[in-house]
Amino acid sequence: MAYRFNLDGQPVALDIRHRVPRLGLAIDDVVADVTEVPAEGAAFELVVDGRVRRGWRCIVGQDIHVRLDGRSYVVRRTDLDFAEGGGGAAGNDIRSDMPGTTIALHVAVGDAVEEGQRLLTIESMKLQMTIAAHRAGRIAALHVEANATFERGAVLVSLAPAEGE
Amino acid sequence: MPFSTVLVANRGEIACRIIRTLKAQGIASVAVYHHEDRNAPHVALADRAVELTGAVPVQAYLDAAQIIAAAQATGAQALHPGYGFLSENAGFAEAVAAAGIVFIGPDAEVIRLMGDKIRSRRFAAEHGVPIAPSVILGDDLEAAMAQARDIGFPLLIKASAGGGGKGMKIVRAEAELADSITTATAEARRYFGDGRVYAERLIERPRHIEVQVLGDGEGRVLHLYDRECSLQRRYQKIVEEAPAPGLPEGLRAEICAAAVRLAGAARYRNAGTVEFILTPQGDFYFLEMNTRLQVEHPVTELILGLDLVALQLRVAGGEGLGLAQEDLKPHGHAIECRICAEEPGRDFRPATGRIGVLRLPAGEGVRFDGGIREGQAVTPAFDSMLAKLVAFGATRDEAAARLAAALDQMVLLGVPTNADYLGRILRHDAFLAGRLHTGFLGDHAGDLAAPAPDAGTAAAVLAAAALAQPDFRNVAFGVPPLHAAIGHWRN
Amino acid sequence: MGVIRSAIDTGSEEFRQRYAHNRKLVGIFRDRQQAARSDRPARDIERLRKHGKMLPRERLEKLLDPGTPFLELSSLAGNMAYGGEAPGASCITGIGIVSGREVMIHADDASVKGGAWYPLTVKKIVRCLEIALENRLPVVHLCDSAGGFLQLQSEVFPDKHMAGRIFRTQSLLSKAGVKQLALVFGHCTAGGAYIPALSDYNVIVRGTGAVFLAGPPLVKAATGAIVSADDLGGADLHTRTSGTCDYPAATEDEAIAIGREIVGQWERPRKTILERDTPEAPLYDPDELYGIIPDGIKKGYDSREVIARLVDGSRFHEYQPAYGTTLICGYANLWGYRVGILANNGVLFNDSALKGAHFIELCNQNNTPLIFLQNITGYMVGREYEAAGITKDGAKMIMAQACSHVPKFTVMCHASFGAGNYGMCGRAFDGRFLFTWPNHQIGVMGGEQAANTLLEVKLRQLERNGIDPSEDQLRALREETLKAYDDQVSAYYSTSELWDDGILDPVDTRNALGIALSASLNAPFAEPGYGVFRF
Repeated sequence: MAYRFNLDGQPVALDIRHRVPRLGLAIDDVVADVTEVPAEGAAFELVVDGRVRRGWRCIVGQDIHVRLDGRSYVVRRTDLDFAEGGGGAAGNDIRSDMPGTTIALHVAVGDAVEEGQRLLTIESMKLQMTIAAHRAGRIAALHVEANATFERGAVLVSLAPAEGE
Repeated sequence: MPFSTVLVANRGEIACRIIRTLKAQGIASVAVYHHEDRNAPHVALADRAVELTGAVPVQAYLDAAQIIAAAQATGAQALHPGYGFLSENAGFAEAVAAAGIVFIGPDAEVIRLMGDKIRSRRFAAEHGVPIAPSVILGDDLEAAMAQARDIGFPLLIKASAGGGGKGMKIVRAEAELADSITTATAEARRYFGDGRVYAERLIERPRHIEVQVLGDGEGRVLHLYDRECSLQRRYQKIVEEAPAPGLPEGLRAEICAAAVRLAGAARYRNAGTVEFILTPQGDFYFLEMNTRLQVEHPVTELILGLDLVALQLRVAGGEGLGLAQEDLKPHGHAIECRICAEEPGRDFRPATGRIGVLRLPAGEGVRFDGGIREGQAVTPAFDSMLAKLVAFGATRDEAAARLAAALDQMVLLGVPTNADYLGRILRHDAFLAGRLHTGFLGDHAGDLAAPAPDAGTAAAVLAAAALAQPDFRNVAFGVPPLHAAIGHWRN
Repeated sequence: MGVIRSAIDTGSEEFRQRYAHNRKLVGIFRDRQQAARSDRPARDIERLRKHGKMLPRERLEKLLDPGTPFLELSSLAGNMAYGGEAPGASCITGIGIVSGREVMIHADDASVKGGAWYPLTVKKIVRCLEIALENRLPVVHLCDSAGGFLQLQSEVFPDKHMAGRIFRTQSLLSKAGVKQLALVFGHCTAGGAYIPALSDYNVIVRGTGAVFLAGPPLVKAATGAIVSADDLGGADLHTRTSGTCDYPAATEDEAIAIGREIVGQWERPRKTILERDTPEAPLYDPDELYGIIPDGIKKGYDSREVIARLVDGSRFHEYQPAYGTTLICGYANLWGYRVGILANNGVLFNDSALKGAHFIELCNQNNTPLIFLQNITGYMVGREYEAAGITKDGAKMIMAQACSHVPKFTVMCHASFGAGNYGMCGRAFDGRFLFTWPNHQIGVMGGEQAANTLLEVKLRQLERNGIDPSEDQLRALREETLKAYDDQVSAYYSTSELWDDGILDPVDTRNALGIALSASLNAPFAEPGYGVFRF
């Protein structure tokens, strides 16, 4: 497998070519020999093709921020970006995990929604909870009205198929 | 000092900066904060802190009633508004005064006067301060167009009540005029609830020069010399310096005198800033007056060796200016840059994240005004400015070199910032030559863009990033030694 | 440890001839392997592409850690069966590294008859799971199979080592704590459905992955119901409703990424501790093996020359160098691991059999794994040797070898005839791995000897029937018999029938043995002990 990153927005392929005698990382097919030197906390020290490189780095969400030689870079891993977001929820239909009643609808058919956006508030077993979009998309259908009751597993909202499906 | 407790009605770097002076003066400080700022440095730094509520964080800092109640509850005798938020809100200044608390700033009337572009310009003109050819446009479109035509093209249409470039239109030819007036009027109404607009001659490649003033409210006004604030993006300053480079001394004196005249006429109390634009021909025109402490005040402090907040407190406490104009002898040069969470390469789009690493620069003449800490989230809830980095030098070149070196040295990771971009500005030939004007950043956009890293650097950056990821480390180092030694092999 | 002093003259005519001969044999092997791996009808490839499917080797490369080896097993299984319709026996098996863990991989090959299981497919999968169980190697199944090949169901379904054995072994793996992950890329039909179901973890690709006991055609035939594969056993059904599958994935890439994460959180094996030194490349170039291996079955070579091109630094500590000299015994390091090596240097006599038995016991006592390098024409025959007890001495060697508790590995280097195969850990003796060189021949006796025996039998038959064959007839009969026997003794026949774990290019032997040795250390050594030795 190969790793894919964006370096300041530019796509780069990264591959491990060898580990002995040193780690050989191919960046867009040019191999660099990398040795890691222990460093404290956010600091790092690498020897890349014989040259010592000291800097700092931290991870924020999907971004890895790296400071090297007086300049900051944002690196993002892209090979784990999947349309349906890892092994979690998937598909176009959003279902209820339990029977209940709809308290409020927060979106309408045709609305564009972001991943994680609140779609419905439902009540089940005296507990109110939010049904959120598991991916970005457009609302294709709302299968329930406000104050409607539904069964476990009922499809509450359908998203339009993602592009490319 | 008449105050034993002062409430700071602000957040971020300016709240921290004000609290530092309060501490130095032995005055107890009260911070206010929204829940989202509960772990912010200004809260930790203050002697006391009062939580404000608000549906969105910004609302909390704009809630006059809650802030005044906090001041009363903590026994604060005075309130420092900082900049932004309620600092130029005349109604707030009145309410603070009505609550028996000293508002550290000018009278509400002066705030009101200077807050109205049309009235303030008229006031300036009346007192012999030059203003750019302009006219307030009437409600009738035909008549307004005729008025505008008289100014001559290119011209600017601006909202009377506006600021920050909102509702502003550049009109280069007759054909665009009618549309621009109509849209500007509509935008002015929408943004500021006041549809009045005016037309002003557009000055190409102007410089933005401002004068720091300090008044006692009795008509005595000092000028604390000038600042150059021409480097702007999205109509907001990002690099400021004092004194303005290459300004003929006669012109500098003229501009400072005009500022003193204006503030004196207004019987201005406290610190304020009179902003001018300077044409390439050497004409200067009044732009506006900011009736508060300015973001870029540190450059003035550094060339004069003063603490402007301390002076504000003194004046507000009724102890007078304590200085005479001849006491003010600027020396050396100071440059400030504003470190903002934004992406210069993407049209300065504001960025969010979390400050993961913060290593402050140190060095001769370097000052860091910040209100950030490691672990702090940078959200869209507040302004994108995170901190200011300021450097003093005997000469402008020395100040620029020290500031650029400090930017290199600073580590602020976890959110994209303009720090490296600022470093490129400070090393740019045109900047070092002092060829400044408000279009500078646009004109030099090509030179100022981040160069692509060389292959070795890109490799080091990617390696560092990849090796920060546990799953990558596992694959890089977790392979059994025999298989690692064999490497890629297929039989 | 001393370095073996090679007597090979790489400039000699003999070396050059052997080198050319063996390079040619390896060229043929590589061509056949290449064909088995990638010669597929264009329409089968198009069909897979149309469904957004990767070829099994593309999946494999994405699954494996970059810059790591993959030891493919039995790449030419089935190459002499079914008229060549099941290249590689329609599946890929081998040991690779996923998220830093050594795993056994079983991948169905849907580019051949929809990945249908032929009898040899089942044999190959069963063998790979046996290896996994014996060596405690976690398994990743890449599932994409239409199910058993119906026309040959009697050879796929009913017997002890047929399809059911796959599921039995899967169950035992799970019981033994050896993890299994199934990535369902295509159909898992009928018995095949149990592969993901019996895996501890599984992932299914939405749209193309499906798991069911009977596919849509069978359901229609049985119940009249018309149902799509996705509705019948697709990702949503199995991850939302039935719970047969764990993780839905939108694409094959995502399934692989999820799979890699799953493997990445598995505990690392607690390997058996073995003496280990820093690995060293052999002093002599392994490429010289081509010039050492003979260019005819009757020609010999000095096994020390082979050992010198396999082991670390070409260093070898020879045991009893002056006794029983037709069996070379001694210690060496392979990729840093201390091993005991037994290599034939001629026919086995009483002394060599006794030396072998004793050496095997020493290695067991010292927990040193054993490597057998076979080039054996048998134990010595004749009254003199029988009188000296050659049979009971051979039995001692077999007893010691069969009861060994240390892992055993066998390389079929050139010839394996007769009972020597047993003493030197032939297939029946459950070595952990057994590999074959392309030049190798195996049979109960040598080719010419066997052909002569068979010809003798046939001639007697003809005689009984009153037929007196002409010279020409005799020659034809002789050639035909020899050819048939030659085909059966060839390495290709051996590997086609899974009598080994694959043919190796001789220069790959060192890596293959290293990976095999490392894998074997995942399992604790068995309890030591022997049966009764006949003295």
